[in-house]
Amino acid sequence: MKGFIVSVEDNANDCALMRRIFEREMPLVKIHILEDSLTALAWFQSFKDVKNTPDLILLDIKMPKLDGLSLLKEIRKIELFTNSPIVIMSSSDQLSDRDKAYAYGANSYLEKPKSYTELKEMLPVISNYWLTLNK
Amino acid sequence: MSTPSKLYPKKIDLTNCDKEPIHLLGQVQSHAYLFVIDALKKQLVRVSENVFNLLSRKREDIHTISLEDIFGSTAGTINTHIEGKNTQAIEVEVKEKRYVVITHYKEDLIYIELEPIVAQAEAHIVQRQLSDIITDLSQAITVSGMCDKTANLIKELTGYDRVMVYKFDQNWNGTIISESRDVALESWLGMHYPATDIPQQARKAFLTQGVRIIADVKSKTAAVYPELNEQGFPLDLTNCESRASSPIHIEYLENMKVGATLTAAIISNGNLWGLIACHHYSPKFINYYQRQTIKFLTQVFSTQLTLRSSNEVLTRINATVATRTKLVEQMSDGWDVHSGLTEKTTSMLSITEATGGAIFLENKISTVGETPASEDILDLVDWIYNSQMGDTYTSHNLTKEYDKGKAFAKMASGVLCVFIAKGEKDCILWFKPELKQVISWGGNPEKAVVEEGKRLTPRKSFAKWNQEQVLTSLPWKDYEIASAQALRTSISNIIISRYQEVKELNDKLKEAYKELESFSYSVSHDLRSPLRGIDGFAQIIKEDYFESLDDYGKNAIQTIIDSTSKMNTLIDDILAFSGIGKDQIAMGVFDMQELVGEVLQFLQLDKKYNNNTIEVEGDLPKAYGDRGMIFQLLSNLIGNALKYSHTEENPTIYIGARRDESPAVFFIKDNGIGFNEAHKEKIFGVFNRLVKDEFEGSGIGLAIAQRVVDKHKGTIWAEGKVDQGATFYFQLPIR
Repeated sequence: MKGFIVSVEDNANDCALMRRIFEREMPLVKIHILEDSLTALAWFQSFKDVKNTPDLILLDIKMPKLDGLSLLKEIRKIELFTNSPIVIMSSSDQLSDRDKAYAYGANSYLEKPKSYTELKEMLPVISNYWLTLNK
Repeated sequence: MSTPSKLYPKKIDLTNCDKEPIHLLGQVQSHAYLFVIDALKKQLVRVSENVFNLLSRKREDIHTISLEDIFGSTAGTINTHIEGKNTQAIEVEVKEKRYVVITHYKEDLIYIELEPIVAQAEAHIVQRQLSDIITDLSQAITVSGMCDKTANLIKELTGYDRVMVYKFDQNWNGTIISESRDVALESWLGMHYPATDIPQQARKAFLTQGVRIIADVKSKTAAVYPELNEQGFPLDLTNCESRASSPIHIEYLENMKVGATLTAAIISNGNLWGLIACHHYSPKFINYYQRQTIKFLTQVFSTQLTLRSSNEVLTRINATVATRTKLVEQMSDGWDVHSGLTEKTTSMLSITEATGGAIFLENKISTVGETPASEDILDLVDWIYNSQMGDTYTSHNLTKEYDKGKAFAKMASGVLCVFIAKGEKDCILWFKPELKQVISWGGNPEKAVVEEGKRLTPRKSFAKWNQEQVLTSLPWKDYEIASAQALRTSISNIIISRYQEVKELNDKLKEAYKELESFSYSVSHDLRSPLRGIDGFAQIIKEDYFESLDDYGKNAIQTIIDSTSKMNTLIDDILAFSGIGKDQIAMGVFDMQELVGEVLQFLQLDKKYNNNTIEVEGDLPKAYGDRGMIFQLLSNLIGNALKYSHTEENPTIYIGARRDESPAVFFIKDNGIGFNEAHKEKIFGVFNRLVKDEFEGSGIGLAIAQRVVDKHKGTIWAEGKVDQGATFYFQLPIR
């Protein structure tokens, strides 16, 4: 599996776990983790490498300063990312968040796994789907 | 249109005497002379027949008779008097006899009546009489005392054989409530007279006229000449002092053997309250001045009466204020109007003289004292409501209007019903029992009219005729009605504030649930994330460094992983709970014994609470509910019991059921720190922790318990004392 995944995740633990899973389970996938939503927005807005846009964007939903849903809205405004696959990783099971996410243009809305074990199972599955099957 | 001459019915008898136009009878009493002058023509147009005799003139000369012809040298004075439309009585001499001239004016006609002056009292005597009247009447304490004084005074002033104070009831029947009579006469005190004795148009005339006399029942009256004017109308004698009475009334008096009468109206608050009726057994003429004195007296009497009755009403209403305040207190306690009015020490009966009371509110009836059965009260309320008789209905002989009332007439012949709100059947009712009493009528009231030949005439017999009154209670007094209405106002205020209180509570509850949901939401996020960290890094150690650890280290890592897993389950439970508001509950019968076992296992007793003794009653009854939710409920209650007792020396928890109740009441009892009984409602609130920080907890445990029970429409409550343990009970309805 090859590709480029950008993840916006403000929790350092989760970032470390995610990084490890990618390194161990999907060594050929390039993972870029943005640990702050405002930094992330700036990164997306200044992204110029048209030929190397991310194959998948993962967004956490509950983040301080700018929450995942607002960030999603902003990313979709950037021409380069109008069609990029974006998956919301939410710890909220509130239907209103899910509906909003789809309304703002998310491609998928997933509940964030409760444990490391589940996360380890889940990340390769979604990566495989967006990077290989749905390419 | 009928012609004027046909206005007067051809045949007047007691069946139609209510319609007799008593002001158009065209007769004056023979002691007086009547002159009617057309003010425009300045011409005499009508006189009483006796005038021709007095002046020795002929009927056809009527238009030529001048004021000089009548009054001689005083004609000028009379002229000025009538030109100024003066109504003050003046004295004149006509044909060497002294008369008092009484004038009144109607449309373009000037009415002049001459009345002889006989036995006129000296001015200073009259003065004294008047001041006596005022002092005597204002000194009387009660209404009945005032009546007695009045009867005595009038007897003294006028010398009639019998002076009576006659009071009307609601149906215009009269009762003699006071009497002053010659000793030789039989007493009529307490006698009742049917309403037909004083017909409606006579009562109406009393309202305007005040005092009337019949000087000689037997003497012939003088007709008005001409009977009809050029337009064919009889003369309107409404305000004539000397107007003759109706022949039927004269016949009535003759039957009573009465020779002369005086009647004066007693008016209270604009209504005819009663009469002062004087009878003389031979002819008797009371002159104008004496009549004025009587008129003055009745006016003083009327004023005093109005004052006194309203004082009496006020005093009594005030007396009920304290009682009403007490009732309001009782009703406000727990906002229960029903029990506040009927079950507490002061009942709704205490503000009236009723012996039974009922309240119909929110489709529920509560009663106190002697009342008809609930279904009878419901029917009665329906009937009163549908009859649309306004917001207050009173009756002291209900069966007259409501035939079904006969079934409960014994305890409720009298009904007072006050509706609480417009357009609603909610009301308060009071009942008075049937009071059988004997009423003495002045002659059989059912035979007030007798048929004689082909004519109906007034009854001949006025002998005392006793009638047993049935299906009638004591009447409702003004103060009873007023305080009932005041209570109604208090009740509707209470209902309004109760509504507001419930609304506020509801709002608070909604807010609390919302808070709870957002709490759960943040728990799910904020706890999950660090937990995932703990789990994740423990897993990493396990993956990469497991082999380099000794057994203790391996064990420790595994424990961390297991614990995070349990913690995740707990978070799941809380999340599931926050979803209770949304999801349908899955009801079913389950084994409580088994469930308690699962909860105890879940709570990890051996690790955390290893010193607690837990006793579970055997054979716990099966329960009906959502097993998953009841699991939440039990884990909260048992968890609390463990938590708040494990610091005790011998912490003991007992889980059992009270099987004597249906459905069974389950309880969890501990010997822990307990709580202050005063806070027993509060402890179920969200974040309402009553304990010190040494006990861990989120503060939603009991709120969750309460919510689970609420979802089942069941009840949960607690008993406890500080440092003496607590018991939590819950009961789930079967369906």
